[in-house]
Amino acid sequence: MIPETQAAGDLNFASVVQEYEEMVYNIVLGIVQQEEEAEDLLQEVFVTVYEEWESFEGASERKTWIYKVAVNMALDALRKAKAAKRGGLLKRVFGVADNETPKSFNHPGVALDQKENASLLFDALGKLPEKQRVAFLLQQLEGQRVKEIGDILETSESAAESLLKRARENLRKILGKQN
Amino acid sequence: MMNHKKDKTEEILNSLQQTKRAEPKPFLYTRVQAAIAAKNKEEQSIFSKLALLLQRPVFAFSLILLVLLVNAFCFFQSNLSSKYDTAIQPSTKVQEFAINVNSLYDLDNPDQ
Repeated sequence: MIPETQAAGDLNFASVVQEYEEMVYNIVLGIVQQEEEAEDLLQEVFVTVYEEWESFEGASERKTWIYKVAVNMALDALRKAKAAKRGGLLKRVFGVADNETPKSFNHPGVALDQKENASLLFDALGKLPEKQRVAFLLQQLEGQRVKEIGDILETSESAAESLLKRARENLRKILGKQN
Repeated sequence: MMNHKKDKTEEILNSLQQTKRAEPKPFLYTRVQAAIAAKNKEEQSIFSKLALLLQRPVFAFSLILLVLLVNAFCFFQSNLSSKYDTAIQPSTKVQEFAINVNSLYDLDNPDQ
């Protein structure tokens, strides 16, 4: 475990990467739903963590701070991808062919008998508002508690609880229409 | 039928609960190190390019020439304005604005 107050110059950054790489990769992968993009983002997150290490004020736990960096960067990447998609739509309108077809996502950690269900769930998650999606993923994939989810999303515990409740309700509606 | 649909939805909703953590590709630290080094090199190269540009004689001479031109421009501007000031005699201003008129009555006939 890395001490909370250690400066970037003193710390063994390799141990930071080793300790948090799976955690960061999984939440980023859950958000962007593309393995290659998640790998790139994982690297970018740790470059940012290295650069910003000394600006960390210690208001939250180091782990929460790294989660925040990862979630924000993944959401930014998702927004950029959406903007690019809108550009693609314009291209199609003007007759330029776009060969990319949206594929359903298969998380590599999902049990074999749950692959199909998980794929449907990831599709439905893509239709949720950002915060609801992140809150749901943090709970289901990472096993985070409501208080920790609130800290990562910078909201109160009750707001995080409400986000989770709304996420489940919306997912039920979306999945109910599909089934 | 309705219950089956509900059960299916709940099954899908809970399908991530037994998910194992996915593992990223190995040697992440090496890749992160390389990315940090590349970023530092890029930043350094921007500053070194700027320093090289400033050191070039062409740039230095151009800068000196620019300073001389600005100086020359300022000098000629000030000369022109002083000529203009001397060209206007005080008497013409007195006539123009009728400063030599002592009272309202003189306004009609300022020469008297």
